[in-house]
Amino acid sequence: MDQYLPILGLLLLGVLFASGSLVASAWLAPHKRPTDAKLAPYECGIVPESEPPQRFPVRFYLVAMIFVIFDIEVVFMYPFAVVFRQLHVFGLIEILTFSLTVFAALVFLVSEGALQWGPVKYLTPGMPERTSSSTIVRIGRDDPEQAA
Amino acid sequence: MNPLLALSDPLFDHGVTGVIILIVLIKIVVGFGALMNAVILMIWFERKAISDMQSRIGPQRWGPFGLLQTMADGLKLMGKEDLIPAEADRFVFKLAPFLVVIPAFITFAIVPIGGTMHIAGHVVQLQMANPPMGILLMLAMSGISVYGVMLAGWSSGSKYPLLSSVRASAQMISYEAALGMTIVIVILVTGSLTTHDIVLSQGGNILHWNLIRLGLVPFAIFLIAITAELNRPPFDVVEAESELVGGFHTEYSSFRFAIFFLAEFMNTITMSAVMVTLFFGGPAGWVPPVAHLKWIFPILWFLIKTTIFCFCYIWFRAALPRFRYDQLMDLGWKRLIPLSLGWMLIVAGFLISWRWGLLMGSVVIFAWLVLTRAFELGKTRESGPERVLPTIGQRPIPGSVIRKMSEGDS
Amino acid sequence: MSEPTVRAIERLDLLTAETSEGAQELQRREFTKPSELGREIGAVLLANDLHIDPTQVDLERRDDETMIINMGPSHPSTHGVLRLMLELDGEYVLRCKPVIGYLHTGMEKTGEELSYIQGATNVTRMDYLSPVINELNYSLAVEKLLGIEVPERAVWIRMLMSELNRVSSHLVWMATNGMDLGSTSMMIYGLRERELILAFFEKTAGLRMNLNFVRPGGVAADLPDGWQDDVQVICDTILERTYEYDQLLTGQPIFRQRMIGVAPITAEEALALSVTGPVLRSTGVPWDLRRTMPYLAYDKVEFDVIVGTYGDNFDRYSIRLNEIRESIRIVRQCVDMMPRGDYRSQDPKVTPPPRARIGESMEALIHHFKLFTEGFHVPVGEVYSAVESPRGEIGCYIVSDGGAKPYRLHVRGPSFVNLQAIALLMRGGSVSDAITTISTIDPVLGEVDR
Repeated sequence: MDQYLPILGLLLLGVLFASGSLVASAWLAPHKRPTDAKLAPYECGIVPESEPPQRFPVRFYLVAMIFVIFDIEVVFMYPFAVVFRQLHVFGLIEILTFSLTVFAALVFLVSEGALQWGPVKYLTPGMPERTSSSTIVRIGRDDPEQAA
Repeated sequence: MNPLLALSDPLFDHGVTGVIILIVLIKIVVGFGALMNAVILMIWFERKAISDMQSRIGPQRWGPFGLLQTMADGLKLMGKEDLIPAEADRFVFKLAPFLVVIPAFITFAIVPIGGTMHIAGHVVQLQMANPPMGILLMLAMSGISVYGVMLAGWSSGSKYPLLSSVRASAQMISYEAALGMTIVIVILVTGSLTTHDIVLSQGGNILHWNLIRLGLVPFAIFLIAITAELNRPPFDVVEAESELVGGFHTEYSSFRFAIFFLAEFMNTITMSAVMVTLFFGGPAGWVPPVAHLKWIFPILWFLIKTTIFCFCYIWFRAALPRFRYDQLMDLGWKRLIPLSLGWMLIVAGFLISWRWGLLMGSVVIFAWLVLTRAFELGKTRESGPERVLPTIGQRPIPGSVIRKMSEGDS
Repeated sequence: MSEPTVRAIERLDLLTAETSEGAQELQRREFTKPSELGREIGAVLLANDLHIDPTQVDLERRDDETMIINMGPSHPSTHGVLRLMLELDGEYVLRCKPVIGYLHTGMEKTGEELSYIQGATNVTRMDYLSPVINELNYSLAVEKLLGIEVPERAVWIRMLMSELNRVSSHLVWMATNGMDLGSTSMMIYGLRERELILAFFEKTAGLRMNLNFVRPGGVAADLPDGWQDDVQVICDTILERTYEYDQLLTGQPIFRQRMIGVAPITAEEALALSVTGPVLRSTGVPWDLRRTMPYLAYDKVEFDVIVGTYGDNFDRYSIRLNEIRESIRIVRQCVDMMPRGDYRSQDPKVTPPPRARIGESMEALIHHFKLFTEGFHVPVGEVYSAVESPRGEIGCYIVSDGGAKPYRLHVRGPSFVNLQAIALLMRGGSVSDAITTISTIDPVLGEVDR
């Protein structure tokens, strides 16, 4: 455990620094009684009539759940990676099997559209590669299209 | 060599004595001071470099070349009124800056800055701590700083920070998986989690650097993922000053606000250093055959390499526009995670023999084809607002219609 | 510390009332009329017929799942004090309603109190990014009422200045659009190049922004000595730099991803919403007043009208980028074809006598005095004239009762009209797209609120 000694020390030092500077700030800063407007939440100069919502779209929870799956799977790979040299081919087959299950989950999620974040109103399908000069049409005075 | 022995710092070989505690204290204080100074210089460097790129002057008033600008800013922020919004959850609001800044300090502890030194008859690694869990500590700490950002946004009781906090939690955890996977690739060749061993294994020459040994792909994934973890441009959707007006720290003022900034720059430096450690051999480099200079050159190499990466982040900021939130999530989940998983298998295969490597390569290519099909399937399932209004008219507008319009109007 | 907090919460209602705009704001769905809801979700009104039944959208959403958020008036990327109320479903915009009036200064009303000769200093402050074009628009309307012809040189000087102004306005647009996308370098580059033009304006008119240079009867002063060289430098530098911007922005995959296919609008929709300028041209409609209803000497110069293909943000960006190049082409022709002669009308009714004559002649002094205190009288009548501003059709409607001041002055601000399309463009996009969409509509709030 001796290697954690410096980390503990650094933790203490970090806490000391952060709280020390906050104390210094409290000491240096003006002590006014803040006005109501200052204490109101920021919403671009408008004091909002409604509270921030308590519920969020389910997609965010979905991300959290998927993350838990993937991150735990990554964590399982660390011990494998450390002893990989000793395990040799056995380890490789094993990790391949493990990866396939992870991959199957990913493929399932992707094909179900669970990893689809974009809203629908984009025009991308079937659009050619565009540059700032190819997307425009120039209509000059002598353009046959313009000559009436 | 006993693998357990390799894990430990020679400093602690004979138990912990008073002298050793003193050495540890010196290490901490020197490391802490160096980090703080580096942050100050980094902020100055960022402002100066970006202003050069944008043909501006940048800070120049305080100290030579404006070097003391950061100090002046810090002092100014200390003298500002500290406000806690009325709607805020006061305890969490005060806690959040600590959760961001302390992990930033701790992560730096595991970075090997140089080789070894002899102090008072003890062999000392130029690295604050070399715990057996090593690089995992970095992942753990970056996990904690997600909490800091998330809670800061949530506890403000305001809508923009709340949006930012939701973005932060989704973004930072999404990239953590890809980040973890690239670290697995590094550990595959190193066989040890400690940063000291990771550096030692790249010691030989430039061809031994993980950057080259593992192919460029893990490094590229790591660079992208770590930029996203840091919320640096182009992945700064969490702060997004033009969208969310600062995001999670909108409601913070005075030194609480400064702490977020300190932590961000500290993390930038630390992550550059971690990148150097993982892929660029850390302090490895040419050392002159002069006895007294042997300890200083590794440190110099380390500093140069780290500075290059710090500069890269500044360059990103000057050159790149910001991703949109959904593009960022797409990049993380649909590109980086499968790519890093596949590359891990290929590297593992080649470590055994080239036949296995090629086999793994073909498995990965097959998997890639499957995934492409899955993407196509996934695109047909819509998300977002279920109904978007049908458009009137067609697009692109046909030439005949243009002609009719221009004839009719002119 | 806890005591003031409690106090603040008690009085938050008061504060809310202070900033509230009442029924103008985006209301919860149950308080919104169907026609109103239709507009907020971006339905296009075609001959009094809503294109979509607003009661049929978002049925599965309830108010506690969505969030109504104020973007603006003090938000860094609403280009001034535009206030948008957005109903968000997580990150995505369901409804949008612009609330305007935060920069209302009563300029149209002020215009009725100012004589025609003073009027130009008033209108130039409306669209503060294209002051020359505002003045030009006003002056053309007054001249139409007066029935006077301005000398040839004045016409070409006006054209030169308004094209330079168009370049500077589009440069600011490029800059702010870059800023909204998080590309801070573009912000600085755009403003750096604009500085060249502003310096030329200062040299010519004495002021950098609100020039009061184009006046009824001509322009305020002749071009300064050596103006050809200055304009040459401006043209060369900016033309070269537009290719650099193209590389910096269009060459950037992230930029393309952020712009291509985002916030599309079709020609029919744009026409139904009476949108003009680059937003209309992006849909492929070649409606540019310089071509379709030529004023000044635009029928004597060669230039292309740039139209887009898909009507999305990327088209609007490309149009503005290419219009900078076209404007430079016009400026070059102006330099070549600039005639000699007077820079203002010699009609003594509108033009003060030259400075030299004031010293010699009592009549000239009295005339000068009368012109600047009382102003000139304009025949009874009403007039509407329009020019192409960088943002679209800017029109000026003046009613004269025969006095020295307009009876009624109204300006058709393109920014104001284009803002109508914002709900349509935003629906279904994310918050980040909302920012780019505001930016590509390019509203100038001085002109919206007037």
